Amino acid sequence: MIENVLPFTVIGGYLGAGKTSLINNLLTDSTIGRLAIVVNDFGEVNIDESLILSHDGDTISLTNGCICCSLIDGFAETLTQIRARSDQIDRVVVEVSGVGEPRKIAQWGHTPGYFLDGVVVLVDASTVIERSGDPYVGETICSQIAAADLVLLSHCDLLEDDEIHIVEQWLKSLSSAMILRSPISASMLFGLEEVGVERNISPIDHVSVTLEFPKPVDLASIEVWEKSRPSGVVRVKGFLSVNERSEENTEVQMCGPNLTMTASQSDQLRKVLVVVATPRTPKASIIKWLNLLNLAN
Amino acid sequence: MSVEVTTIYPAAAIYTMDPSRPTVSAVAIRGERFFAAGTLDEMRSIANYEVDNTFAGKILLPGFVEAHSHGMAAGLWMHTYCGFFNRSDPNGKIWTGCKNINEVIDRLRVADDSLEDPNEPLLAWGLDPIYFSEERLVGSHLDQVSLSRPIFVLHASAHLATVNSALMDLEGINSETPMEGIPKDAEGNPIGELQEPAAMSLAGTVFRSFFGRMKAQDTKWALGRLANKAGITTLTDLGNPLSTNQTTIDEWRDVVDNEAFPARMFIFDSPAMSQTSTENLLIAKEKSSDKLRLGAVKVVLDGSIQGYTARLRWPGYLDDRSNGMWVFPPEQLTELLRPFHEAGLLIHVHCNGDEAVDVFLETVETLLSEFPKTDHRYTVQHCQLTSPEQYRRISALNMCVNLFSNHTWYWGDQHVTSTVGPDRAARMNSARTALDAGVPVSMHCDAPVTPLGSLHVAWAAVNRRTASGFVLGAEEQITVDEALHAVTLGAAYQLKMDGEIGSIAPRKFADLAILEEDPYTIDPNDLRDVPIWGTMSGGKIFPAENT
Ligand SMILES: [Zn+2]
Repeated sequence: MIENVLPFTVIGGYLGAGKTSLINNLLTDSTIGRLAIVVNDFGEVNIDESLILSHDGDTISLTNGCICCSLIDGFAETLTQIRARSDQIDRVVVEVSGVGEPRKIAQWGHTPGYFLDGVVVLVDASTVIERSGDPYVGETICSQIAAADLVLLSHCDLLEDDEIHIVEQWLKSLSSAMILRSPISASMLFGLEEVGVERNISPIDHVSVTLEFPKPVDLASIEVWEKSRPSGVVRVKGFLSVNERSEENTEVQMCGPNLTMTASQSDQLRKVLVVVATPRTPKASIIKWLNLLNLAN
Repeated sequence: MSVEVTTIYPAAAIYTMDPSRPTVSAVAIRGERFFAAGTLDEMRSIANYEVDNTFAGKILLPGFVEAHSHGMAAGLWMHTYCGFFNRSDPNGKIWTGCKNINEVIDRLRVADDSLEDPNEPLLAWGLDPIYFSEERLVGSHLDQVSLSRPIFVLHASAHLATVNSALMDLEGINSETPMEGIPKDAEGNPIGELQEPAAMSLAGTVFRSFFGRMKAQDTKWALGRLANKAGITTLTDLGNPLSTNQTTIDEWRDVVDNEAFPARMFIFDSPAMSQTSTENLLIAKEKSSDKLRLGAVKVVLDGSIQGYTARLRWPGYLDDRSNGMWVFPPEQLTELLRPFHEAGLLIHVHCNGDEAVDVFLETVETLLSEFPKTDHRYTVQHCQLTSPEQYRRISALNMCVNLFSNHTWYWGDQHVTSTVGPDRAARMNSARTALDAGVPVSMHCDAPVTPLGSLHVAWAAVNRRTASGFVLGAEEQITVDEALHAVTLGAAYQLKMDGEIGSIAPRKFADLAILEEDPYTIDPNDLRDVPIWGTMSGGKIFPAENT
């Protein structure tokens, strides 16, 4: 690697939507690697005492290599500190406060040394429709949902399937985000099947497809491809050579429906895309979709 | 046996804010405290007195109390001022306002010339282009100052900065930069504006040195000089999430407890950011000294009206945009405050919009019904759009308000035309309504948001004039006496320091604002222009020129 660029994922959602338990699960999930979790305050994460290696002011170090940082010195300072130890960190996850704006926080993911790797918004399926009418916070909740790439529905166990379906339909009226029912595996949440990285991930919790693109691709076919995403596709990551773009190697990221293309900062030279989809998505439909990129050639 | 010397200062006029003796002609001071307030003749029986005529031609008031300022208020003066309004720096130099783009460029050129190291960034603040009638100020204007030296100019709102090409080249800000908040021209190149903190932080080392330098220990002394020139003898820092850290306390104590520092300082914590426990706050409170106060709580509920981020009740903002933002979740306020309430800590909450006020009032009602208290002095900070019925509720709950009266002058015109319209702008910071409802009132400048200056704050509440010159909400004007009470005893009351400061009376700390003209006899329109000779803090004289 030329430089270790850290993926930066934003986790938002209103109070009670399950951010804290998601983050606690991530902190102990050995498939993810070493996480730096950034929180407004440590009061929001209840880290198991037995996992804490040291607590040094605004950083808590865990025995498994993860760290938890508070924002007391502000974002710029916290991100500088994490950069300074980027050889010991694989990924950054930022928890937005219950009334915070995920889209604003996501901008920090464009700080040099980081790349924005998705905005995930948790939604309490059992209360969200009612709370969206709250005179104080209804607007806040709706704008959080609108800002999401992935919406993760929590507390689905409290509802019948048709009730969840109503919530999903309602969410679709607010947001183009991909809507998933929690829990989902870390591989789906982050698209952990990165190019060139071998991981020991159980294949039961998601479907993944990898395809090489030895020839350059046109922007026009990317546009067609982007709009025809099969419903189960959660994430796409990889590298392409794009005819109309100046750089040799374009890094492609898709989180939910949102595609970003940037000049690659990696020394990865293979032109290859990895797709991560929900467990019952047919592989054939994914391959057919990926082949849309080759049509113009 | 020897009795400590008591010094008697006769003055041209002395306004005490002590209801039993509102005006006197001399004060007697022993050590740090007032020994007597009356006439020279009355004081002849004091043992071992001497008369000091330093203030013979001066007007004395209780030292002004600024109940909402920020500890880093003087830090911006580490950088070049290029705001629209005239502003005086900690050394008393008056910087004239930059009224157009050329004046900004000229100001920056002078600063550029004064920097010896060609690589040292030029840092400036206070830019207020909403007042400029010309084209938008962009990075290429700053390129006229220097093509090689990075330039970073923070706007008055503090939400954005304008930078030059040299800075963008240095930090790699270009057409490919993916962040939002970096407006681009027709060719796709950034115009040199960095909006919101994430984009501003792309200015990298320049951004860090801008904010890093503001924290220098020197800036605390500079704050003291600003206060002294404004007649202020008690300052506040509302709030500091690190207030209970020993390092923070030591750094402040080094300055404030030094007898050469001319003011008291009350530092509030921000527990919503720091998660400071009640126990830590109580420990910090115990570490308070006569001059340095600790162990109170400030919470910010919403944003600002001029930034369209305050939480407004219907009908909201004039242009039908979405409502402002919550900085702290309304439904968690009771839970956050409960332990502080039960421990008897002083709690002030920032509510700019009237909807935020509702949330605070509901919270206080809940807490008081769970755990009744009479003398709590819960204070609504800013309290700008509060309606008469809310003031009646505030009164019924025994709460106080600290109004941001300077808004009428600095943003009154924008409030009329853009944010809330003439009707609600006329009731902003409605001191008359508050006083008539029996609510204890103070008024503040929120420095560095507006300049540290209690006479300006009082002037704004008395006259309610906007920058374009018209009177906004004449019905809400108050008298000079009411305004001066608000910035002395009124503010001391909200800090629970009214037994020690805020009026001139025996036993209280000898803190004085020393004026050259009588604010009670001049034209009230000139109140903000009354020259300030200096201050007295704890019996020690601080002439404004010599600090
Ligand atoms: Zn403030």
